[in-house]
Amino acid sequence: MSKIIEIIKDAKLTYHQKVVALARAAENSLDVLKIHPAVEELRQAGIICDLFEGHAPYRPRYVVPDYARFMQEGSEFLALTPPKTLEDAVHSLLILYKHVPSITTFPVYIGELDKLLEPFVKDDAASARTIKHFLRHIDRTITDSFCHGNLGPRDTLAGRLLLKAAAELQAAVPNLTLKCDHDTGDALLIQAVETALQTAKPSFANHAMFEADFGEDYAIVSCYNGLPVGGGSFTLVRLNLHRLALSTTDYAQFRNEALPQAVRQMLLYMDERVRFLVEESGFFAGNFLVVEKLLRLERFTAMFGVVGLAECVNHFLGNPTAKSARFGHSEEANSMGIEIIAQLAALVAGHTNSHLHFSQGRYLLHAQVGIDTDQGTSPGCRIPIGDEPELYEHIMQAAPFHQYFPSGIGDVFSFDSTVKSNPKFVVDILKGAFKNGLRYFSAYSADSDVVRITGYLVKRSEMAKLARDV
Amino acid sequence: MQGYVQKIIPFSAVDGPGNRTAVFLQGCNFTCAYCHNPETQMLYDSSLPGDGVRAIDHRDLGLEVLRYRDFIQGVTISGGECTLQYEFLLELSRYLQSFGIEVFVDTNAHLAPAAFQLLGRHVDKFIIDVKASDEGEHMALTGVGNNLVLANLRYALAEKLVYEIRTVIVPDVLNNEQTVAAISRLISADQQVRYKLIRFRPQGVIGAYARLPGPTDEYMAALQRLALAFGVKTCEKN
Ligand code: SF4
Repeated sequence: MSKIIEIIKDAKLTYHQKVVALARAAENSLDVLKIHPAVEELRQAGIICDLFEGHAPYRPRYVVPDYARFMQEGSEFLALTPPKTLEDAVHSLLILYKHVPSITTFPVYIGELDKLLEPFVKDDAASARTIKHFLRHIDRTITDSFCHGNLGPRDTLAGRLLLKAAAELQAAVPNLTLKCDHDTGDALLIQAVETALQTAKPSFANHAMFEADFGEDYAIVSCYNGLPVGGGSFTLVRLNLHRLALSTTDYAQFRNEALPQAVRQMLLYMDERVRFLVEESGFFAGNFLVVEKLLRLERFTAMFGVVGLAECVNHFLGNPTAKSARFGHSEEANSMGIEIIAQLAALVAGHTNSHLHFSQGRYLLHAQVGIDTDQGTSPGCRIPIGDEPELYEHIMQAAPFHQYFPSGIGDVFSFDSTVKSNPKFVVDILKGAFKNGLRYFSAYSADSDVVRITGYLVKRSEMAKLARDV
Repeated sequence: MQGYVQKIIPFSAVDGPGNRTAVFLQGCNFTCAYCHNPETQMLYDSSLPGDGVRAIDHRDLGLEVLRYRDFIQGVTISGGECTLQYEFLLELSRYLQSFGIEVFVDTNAHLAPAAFQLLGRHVDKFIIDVKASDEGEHMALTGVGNNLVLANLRYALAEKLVYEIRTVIVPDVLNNEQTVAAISRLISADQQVRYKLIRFRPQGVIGAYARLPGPTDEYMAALQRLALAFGVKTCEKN
């Protein structure tokens, strides 16, 4: 109870943050999941982490509503008919966003915004203004950097208006991704790069690669997670390879015993979370998104996350002092990284759960971006910050890992501001990266106010204000 | 054929359109007072002690560059003054073009018109550095006159072989207005040609120019306005 009163009295929390924290405290007072002692041990050691998902899952972690269906059919539950004008469309979406569950209460996915709005926009000031208001409304009401909208791969007027508004607003929310393929013309790519150099978004998704994994109806949500539209991911739990490595005696033991055991325990733990959510929580029986088929059980999967590959590899190489011998640079280190991820992928693929309809019972791998307490452990398969090689080597090092992670992996590339006068420079690099198997690419300019912290965006000016306040 | 290479920058944003691999050849025929890399001026041969300069066959160099082909719009060969290794330059350019690579050559255009014109048939575009429009001033700055430069520039413009012209702006010593006006007048006939005004930076320069101030932002902006007033469509300054 002292926890509850602490939340209530916490002067730093907004009203809404208190409500969320109280709900979480209530959920976490329960003990309904059957957790094996071996899992509990790995959780206590920080090797397995459920990333604040809570003790009694009552909504999927990543909900990816079929917004196109909503625009076609409206919603009986929300008493909304299909929109006929841009005003209708924008307001319908903003209403629906407030009803999309997640573990933070804020939607992690807000739709393929260009496709949703294209039928209603005109090339005039009124449309531009409405779209700007729409994005501003999202930034001010969905106060969560993991909220993600999608654009592309086709060039549309709505897409251009959205990019222009994003550049003008310089807001952290929503995050945006442009899906790119050979049909995405240079003109749109250049506008998107110009926008990214101003406001650290959109990021760029390799459409051909995601399409091969998911079919056409996929979305990029939260940080950069690829997931099926009309479904999503029940859960995300992650394995910390760095911590796991530290608990082993040597590389052989890591590969032969520790990794297979940890993966097994984590999968059983995830199975239990999925079981409770699907079979007991009632979400799939009663939620209107399910009833109105904006979500369908058969479009769900779940995500097996991983962090700390770089540190894991460096550990087994004896933490070399020379950069040239470390992960990201040496041939030996990079091959060891691939060897570990390939083994991990095979172990995960060897396990099935009948609730994971979308992915034939398999969990999808996700290179998790980390949480703020992850000091000294790099996101997913990334090279530690400061250790990155030159751009070309960096891309070629990262690309081979991307095939293993359909539900998300990405690298962030920083460009100096001289590039702003030659955005085609970034477009050329982006195309080369995709041609060489990179799945997801984020660019930002070191001097813009909105900056990218691993997967999400923050405003530099607000961080500075916060630092002053504490 | 063997040539001498100073360095290769795999991804360059400032040597022409898009992403380009920039290849810097060794040796220069000017001795610009504001040169930032006088070590590239000396023509290289294998008897000289190496400071990063590599002797390399044009095909090997070409293959090195081709590694980046998925990522680049083209290649820019620069210097020093790359036309000093004329045969090598020609071979390298033809070799790269045979793989469909777009080749730009960044040159001061100080070479015999016949040689320049032949080169023009084996490159996609030139980037031409014009140091000064006045002959005497050019002589004082670089050690040579500019009649070849201007003749070749006129030819290249007429043949639509120019991507960009560049001039380094040094306040007080050079008559920048005169050069900018003269070049802008030449460019204005072709709206595709870009003009880039480069700020002189005393840091790292050896000799008398090290004590000169760089141009102010206002001065650079004024010269840019001048170029635009003469009908240049794209005038960048850095
Ligand atoms: S042309 Fe370039 S490399 Fe040659 S001396 Fe002048 S500044 Fe230096």
